[in-house]
Amino acid sequence: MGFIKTRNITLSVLCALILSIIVFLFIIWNLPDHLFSANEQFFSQEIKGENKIFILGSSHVYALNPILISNELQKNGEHFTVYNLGSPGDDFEERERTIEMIIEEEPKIVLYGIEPRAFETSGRNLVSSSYEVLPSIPSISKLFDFIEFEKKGVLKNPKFALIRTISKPINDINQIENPYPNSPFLTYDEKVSKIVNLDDLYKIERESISSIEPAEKNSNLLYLKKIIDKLQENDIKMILFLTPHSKIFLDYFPENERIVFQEIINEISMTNEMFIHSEIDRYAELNVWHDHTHLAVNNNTDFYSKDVAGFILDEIKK
Amino acid sequence: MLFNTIDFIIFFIVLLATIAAIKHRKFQHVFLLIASYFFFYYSSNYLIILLIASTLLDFYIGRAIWNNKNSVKKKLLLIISLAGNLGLLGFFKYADFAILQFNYLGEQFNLANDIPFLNLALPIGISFYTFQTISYTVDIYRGKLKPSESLKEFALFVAFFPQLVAGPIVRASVFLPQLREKMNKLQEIGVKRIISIDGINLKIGITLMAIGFLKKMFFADNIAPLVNDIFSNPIGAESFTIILGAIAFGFQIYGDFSGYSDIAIGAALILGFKLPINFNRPYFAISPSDFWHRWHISLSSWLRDYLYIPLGGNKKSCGRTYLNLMLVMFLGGLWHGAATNFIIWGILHGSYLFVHKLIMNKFPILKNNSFFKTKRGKIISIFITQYFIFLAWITFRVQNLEHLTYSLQKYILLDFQYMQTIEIILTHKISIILMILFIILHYVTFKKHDLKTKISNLSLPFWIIFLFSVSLSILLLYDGNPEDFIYFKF
Repeated sequence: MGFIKTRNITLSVLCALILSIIVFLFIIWNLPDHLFSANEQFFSQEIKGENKIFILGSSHVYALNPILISNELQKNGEHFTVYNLGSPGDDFEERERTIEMIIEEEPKIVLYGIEPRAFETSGRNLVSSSYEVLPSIPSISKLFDFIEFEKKGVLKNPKFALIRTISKPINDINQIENPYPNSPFLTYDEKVSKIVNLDDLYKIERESISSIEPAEKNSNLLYLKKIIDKLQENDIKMILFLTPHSKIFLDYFPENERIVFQEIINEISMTNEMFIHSEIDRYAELNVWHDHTHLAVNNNTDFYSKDVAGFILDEIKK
Repeated sequence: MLFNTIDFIIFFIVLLATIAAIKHRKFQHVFLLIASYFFFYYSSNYLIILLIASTLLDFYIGRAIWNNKNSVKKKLLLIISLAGNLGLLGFFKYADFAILQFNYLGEQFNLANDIPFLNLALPIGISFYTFQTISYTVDIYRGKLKPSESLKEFALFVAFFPQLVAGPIVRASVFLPQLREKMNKLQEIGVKRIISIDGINLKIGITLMAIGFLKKMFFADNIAPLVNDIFSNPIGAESFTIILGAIAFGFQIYGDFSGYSDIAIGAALILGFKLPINFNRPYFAISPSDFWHRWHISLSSWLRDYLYIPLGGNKKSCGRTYLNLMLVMFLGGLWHGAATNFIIWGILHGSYLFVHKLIMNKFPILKNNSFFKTKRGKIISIFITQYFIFLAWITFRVQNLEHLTYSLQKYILLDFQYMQTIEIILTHKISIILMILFIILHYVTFKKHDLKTKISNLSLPFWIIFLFSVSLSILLLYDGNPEDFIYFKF
């Protein structure tokens, strides 16, 4: 009797879980994939310019003005049409899904702004488990990493996809107000133009960083490498650069994670024979920050675009 | 290992399957001990050494206290145990905080050279398991408890994985008899399993775990963005925004911590162990002392039995009672973490209890006043109590003293501005909807006593619908970042 009851209960739990997962997957599969759709929309249009440069990255490239970069290059005799294709929350896995569209446009250069948190193992709020003196047990959930989902991007954050769909159906990217021309995925936001002075910057709660898995185990790195390989296979020059961070962020960047991040950068640099430009601490102490990891977007931070134009020129001359 | 990860689900399923399948049934509890150590080692690595050290220390000292007839020696052994446990806790949890205070003092007296911080990793669950082992030796010293019969039995009590990292703080007098009963049954009446998974416990346990996951992953984790937005930098925020933040954080921490407790109690129940409840609708408390009978009950009862009563409780003068209350709550605040805000939180709660007791002593007529027994009187009592409880949550959440003073000022002295608050509400619609839903559910649990049992008693088709709804809600609002349980830090 007891056994039957236990069995019935176990079957009921399984039934409820399977049912909920099926319904969940059904809903998720029918949710629009915003990043992909936005890219599809943009790349289906005619993208002007013979010599194109695409800038990729997350909100950390928001402050890069493509027109300013284009003008800087022009002053030095290089004629390119620059597009800032940065997208808030961009990650390598999601970007890899759209890289074919970029390749089809045959840009001369793809510039990718990367930052430490792009290599984080998991969520931004997890406790760092970097104190491993004894051998560590491999993560159980990693056993499932081999499973490939068609909509892994949406599955990674169903809440985001769901809310995005409920709150606003897929935007027509032509309706979005952009901060500059040629920045189709960035939305103008007056708030980010504000410089927060250093005293107030210290008052903002620090964004914690969770553990960064070493290069050999880092799944984010794997996707970045796939992007690099695909671009190189298609003779598209790729330039990687570390986006700028404030002194506050850098001061609290945990030492273990700093070392692992540096090892990852060295690994990319060595295996792909590329020089990785670093802006990470260039403006760290200047009074130009909107928060700990983002430069304010206004005329006072034009130097960022000019510096980026500078190393594009260096790379062109190589 | 976080409860709200796929890692734990797999671990728990494998554990249950193995327990059900183990042929040598008397080894089931050894297996459970190994599994508990695996659970801890999985995320804490070498810090498991501290857990084992604490276990060994109290097991042998407990025995020595029991076997010793000399009261002076008994006391000495108890002091060694307390020093060992509190020393461990103090060193790993409070060393850097003490250094910070010391350096600050040095600065005031123009002493050169700061003492460098030790930057020790905080061992997860240390505050919980040291309190468990302390209660064990103290109970033996008081003659209330027989020492554990074997090391493995005691080790399982200390390391039992459901309550290991964030409670409830289980007393040996509650846990060991349950384990012994299972072992005796095996010897005496030949029951096949030491740990058996029976249908009733399984159903109630799963119901509790489902409710726990819902509280944590559906409510707490999705209210968190609103709280973070408000308290990342509250300077400049309107009064209503601060009040909204305080209420949201109150719901978040309740969902987070009571969710953890429900999962822990549910998981233990499936294995046949009854852990004490930790929460009892705290936001319906009608006085500060009532709140502490409803919030983190295992800690408040621990503090009462092992600190407040030994200090004299309310058996001495009124002044001494007030002092005891303040001291106990100060230490209760400090137990939560080595930071000034937790100390202030403790002191605030101490003063609530003190003022409440003072009023009751000065105006005994209030105690039996019929108005406070009416529905309206109770509602007024609840609102007044909760106003102060949520005020105290601000101290728990803020990051620094400036944020604290600003937030408290805005919470107390209303500015009646509301434009910014409306903007925040519009930005965090999901969090607001969840808060409203949370209030409704909290009210339902208040009106319908023992809702968990009622859900467990549902017929299987309805129970499946319940589990399906919980599971789907969690999946749909999962944001890919399983947040830590807040009490993991303590």
